[in-house]
Amino acid sequence: MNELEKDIALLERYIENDLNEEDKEMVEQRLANEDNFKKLLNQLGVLINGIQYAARNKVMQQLKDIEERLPEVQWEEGVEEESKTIPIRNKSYWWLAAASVVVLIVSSIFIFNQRPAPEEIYNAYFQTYDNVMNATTRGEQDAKSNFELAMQAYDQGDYSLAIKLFNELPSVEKDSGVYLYLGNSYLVEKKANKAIESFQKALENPGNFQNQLQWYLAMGYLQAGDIDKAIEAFTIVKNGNYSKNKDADKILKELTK
Amino acid sequence: MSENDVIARIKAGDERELGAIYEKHRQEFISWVIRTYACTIDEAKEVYQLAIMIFYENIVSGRLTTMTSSIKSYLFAIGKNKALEQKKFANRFTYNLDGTMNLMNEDQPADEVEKREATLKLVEQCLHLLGEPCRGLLELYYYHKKSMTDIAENLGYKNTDTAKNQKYKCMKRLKKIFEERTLNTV
Repeated sequence: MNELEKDIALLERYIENDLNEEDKEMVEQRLANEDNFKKLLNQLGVLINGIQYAARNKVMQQLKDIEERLPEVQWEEGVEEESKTIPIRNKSYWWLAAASVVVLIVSSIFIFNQRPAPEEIYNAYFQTYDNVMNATTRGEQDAKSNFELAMQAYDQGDYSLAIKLFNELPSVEKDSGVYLYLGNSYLVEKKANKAIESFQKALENPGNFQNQLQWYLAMGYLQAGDIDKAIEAFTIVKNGNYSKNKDADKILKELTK
Repeated sequence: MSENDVIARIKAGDERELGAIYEKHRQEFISWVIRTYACTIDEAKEVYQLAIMIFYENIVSGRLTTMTSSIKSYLFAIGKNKALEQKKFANRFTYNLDGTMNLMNEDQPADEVEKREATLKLVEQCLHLLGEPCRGLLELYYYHKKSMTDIAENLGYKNTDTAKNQKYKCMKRLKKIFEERTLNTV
């Protein structure tokens, strides 16, 4: 080994805490006195980090390769998901049954071309956006900010109070998140136009909520019965990179029947 | 095979075992992340891949030797505590010399984070130039935490000392390539 290799070996063992007290002291003395030796230690640190970074990227790539080979994850079919959202196909069974009764009177072509009312689709897919802002702890009323109080009302299902409190927040605090929850509260209270207004306002500066806002804006149009605008908005959701894009696709199929 | 056997096999370098674990919990984990954190399917997959990787790193570094719970709940715990943080601050992690990974301090200036990331990428490029067997040897030692005895055996060196000497030579060459590239880019 030449001198450099010896120094590398010495510093590696120093990094790994593999030296006896005497050698460790010697290394520390050299580090204090020799700039080049100190520089070498720093360089080794950078190189070792880089080696770990590169190897880690390789492992990540291997996992991505495995992922590529597997069939797509079917997350929508999960049990919990089904309990939260009612898929439109289940919801429309009663309608098909009713249709079969009147099939004697009207032509089948008319029935099967008929699309479900926007309200029906809305009811099958709407659920309020979860509180992801903070876990509201109950019973500590004094210490809460107005925003927290509004979120608490939202969590407890008191949407008219939530609307009041969200609206009372100073305008500097009204970010896209506030408008998202405000709009959701309006949707529950069946005030579609107010809801649409909130989502549009938030979409001017959507922050992290772009996808969610677009989805709920579309739901607002659906509730308002504005099919054209709803189709437009669901199309944006469908083409976006959001967990609701499959739902948006299904809704679009219903709306354009 | 018990879950502790699985860990032993992963530690011994059995790559298929990690792939099998990946497949086994994938459906449940990814759909759970999408539902819980309202993120896209691609983001959820990345969180899962990070969780599997951290699981792997904890095994090879010796932090995880036996399962006290199940592998599944271990993965979900990582998903909750760590992977999501990392997703939030994508690429803002730093590597410690012992191979563990820390999230960079949030108030660390953005340009320093970028500079660090650029340096790591540069070393990665240098490793490409360094080529095999040096690259593999260094990665086996510093990331996969293999002993020099194992490395000597796997890469066909005569004995541990030969492998060690080879490692120092490889490090010296990597240092040289890195210095040349650093000079060229300044």
